[in-house]
Amino acid sequence: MVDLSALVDAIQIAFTVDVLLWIAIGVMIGLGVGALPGLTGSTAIALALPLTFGLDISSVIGLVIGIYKGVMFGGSISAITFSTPGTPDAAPLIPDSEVLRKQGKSRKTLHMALYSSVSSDMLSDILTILIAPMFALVALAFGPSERFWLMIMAISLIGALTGSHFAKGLMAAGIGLFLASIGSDPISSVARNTFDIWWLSDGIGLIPLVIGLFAVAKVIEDSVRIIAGSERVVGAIAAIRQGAASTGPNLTVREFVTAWREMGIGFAIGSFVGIMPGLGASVATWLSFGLTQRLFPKKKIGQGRLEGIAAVESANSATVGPALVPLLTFGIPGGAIAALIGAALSLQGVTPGPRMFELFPTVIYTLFAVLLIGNVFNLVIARLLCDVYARLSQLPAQIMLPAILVMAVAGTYTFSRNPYDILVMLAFGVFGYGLRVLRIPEAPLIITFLLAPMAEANLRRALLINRGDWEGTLFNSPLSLGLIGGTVLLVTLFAVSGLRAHAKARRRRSANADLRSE
Amino acid sequence: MERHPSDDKSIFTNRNIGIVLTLLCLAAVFYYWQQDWVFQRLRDRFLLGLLTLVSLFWIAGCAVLLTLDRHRRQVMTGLRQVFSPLIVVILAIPVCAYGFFAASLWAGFPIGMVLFATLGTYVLGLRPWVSALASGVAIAAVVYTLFWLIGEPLPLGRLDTLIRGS
Repeated sequence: MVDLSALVDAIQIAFTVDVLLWIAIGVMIGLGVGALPGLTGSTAIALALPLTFGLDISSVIGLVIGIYKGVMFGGSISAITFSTPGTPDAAPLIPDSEVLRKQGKSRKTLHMALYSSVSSDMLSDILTILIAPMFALVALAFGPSERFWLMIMAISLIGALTGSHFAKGLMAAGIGLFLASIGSDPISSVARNTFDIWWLSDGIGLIPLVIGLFAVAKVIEDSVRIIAGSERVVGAIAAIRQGAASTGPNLTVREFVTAWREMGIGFAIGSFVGIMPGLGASVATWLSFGLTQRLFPKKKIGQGRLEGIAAVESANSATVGPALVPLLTFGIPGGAIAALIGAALSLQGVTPGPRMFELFPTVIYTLFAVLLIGNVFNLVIARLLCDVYARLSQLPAQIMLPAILVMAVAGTYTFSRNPYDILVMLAFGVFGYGLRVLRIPEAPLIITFLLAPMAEANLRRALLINRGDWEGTLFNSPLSLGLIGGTVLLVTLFAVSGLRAHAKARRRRSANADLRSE
Repeated sequence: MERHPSDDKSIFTNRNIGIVLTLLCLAAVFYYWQQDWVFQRLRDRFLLGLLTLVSLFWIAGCAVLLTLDRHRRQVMTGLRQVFSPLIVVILAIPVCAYGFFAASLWAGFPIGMVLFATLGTYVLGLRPWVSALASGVAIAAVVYTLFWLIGEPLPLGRLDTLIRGS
């Protein structure tokens, strides 16, 4: 049932000047970060987390959702204006946008990307608002044992699906579990895995961990590349001033409406992929691009078609709302950005999960309202400032990297005023660089780090209910058994499909070698 | 993916990384096995070190998988940087960042940020030095203003004493 008084409160809160201002700031930051090649939404939200400490929860929601929405479109600005995707999700835009730019239609292309992005995002947000409460009702029927297995299933799925290497994704989840075990036992408060270091008795702080992994590691990685290549930048400001801007005529209504099929496909794919934990927007954009190419071969998508832009950008933005569904209903973030949004809510004392609808209805309705309002801000700000962002996207890394590091240090210190947190953050920066070098994804690590305490709490609650009987705790209901079976089945399926793909590639290589030798 | 001529002979394959990680995990398991707290049973019959041990076995299992799976011959080219003089850069960044933090606590963040950002942009290759200085001042101004706006101003250190003294 909808709590009408909470809904009215939420709408009033969402339209306060403070919240609207933070949405606008979030969208502006997000567009800028998205447009800068190499920087991702995870880095931006990780750096913004310490800023949320001094804000009320509605402003925090405005800021993080604004950044998320801005980043999703921002990535396409640099992809369209100078063929360098700002975020990995925008890469499938390149084939069409390159040809369109050579035809002098870059303004049309940018507008098609923006309008398809905003309309698809709006539809997917409405879908999220409709389905999230239903999912939450289902989630409430889960007992502690089932919740524990659901979290194990989510961790396994996210680990298996994130990145290109099954074992490395799962390994990242294992590292997350190890880090989560540092601190004090949540029930008896006995210190565990603290290496007898007193300041570790509270565990590893989320802020130093995420800023280290997402921001400091990025700074180290890019600084090493720049110094190894002895890159010099002279006249950076002049380059920004003369940077590419969109040219050519505006998009017509007819051109926009003609792409409705591609936008529909993008919306459907993006919404589905967004809900699935571990997949992410890159999968959605490539799937949508590939599917529209196959379904409409006569349109020659990928060879300079506005419909191709619509298909990719609508899939990209349609993941935004649905990506929050597993977080808000089961408390399980499906990706790195959802995990960071969950962290921002947790830092304000609101733990995402099915009971959020009962305990914090105003917060959840405010979030829904901000999701919708954010689209309007995204449309207006991006429409007015896309040329500015196109120029800003040429800001050299030589300026960006020290700025990120300064922000990381200042943010971490401001959050806790604890010098040890700076050490922890920098240590995780080096560790995160190691993960990047070994191509181990960070997202399963963060998600497991966040989920492990909840999974442990559920397991121990179930143990208490079953008076310490492990068998009864773990295998007490058909739903638990179903979740265990599902986890084993899915992980096996991914492993087997990977082996099959490998065998197929091997056969193809040996066939090619035979042909060459003949 | 960029391939290096020496990739076929490289030691930085997933298989070798998997072997090293497996050995490290086994050493960690051995270490934890010796710790009394790991096997301390709590009131709900939960072992205090259960999660730690599970996570180590989990990582070790994945490390073993790395040595056997279809990506086992893949070379992690980035590891070459770690085993090159560039390791100095990798380690210098966090050390300098901590130096910046410690200096900022003493001298004040505005001064620390300007110096660190100016030096950082210059070392990374921004020229001429006036551009680096202008960037440093701009970065410091933006970051300081941002924290001041959210009501969490960054410490001024000795700068505060100077301002108050004057």
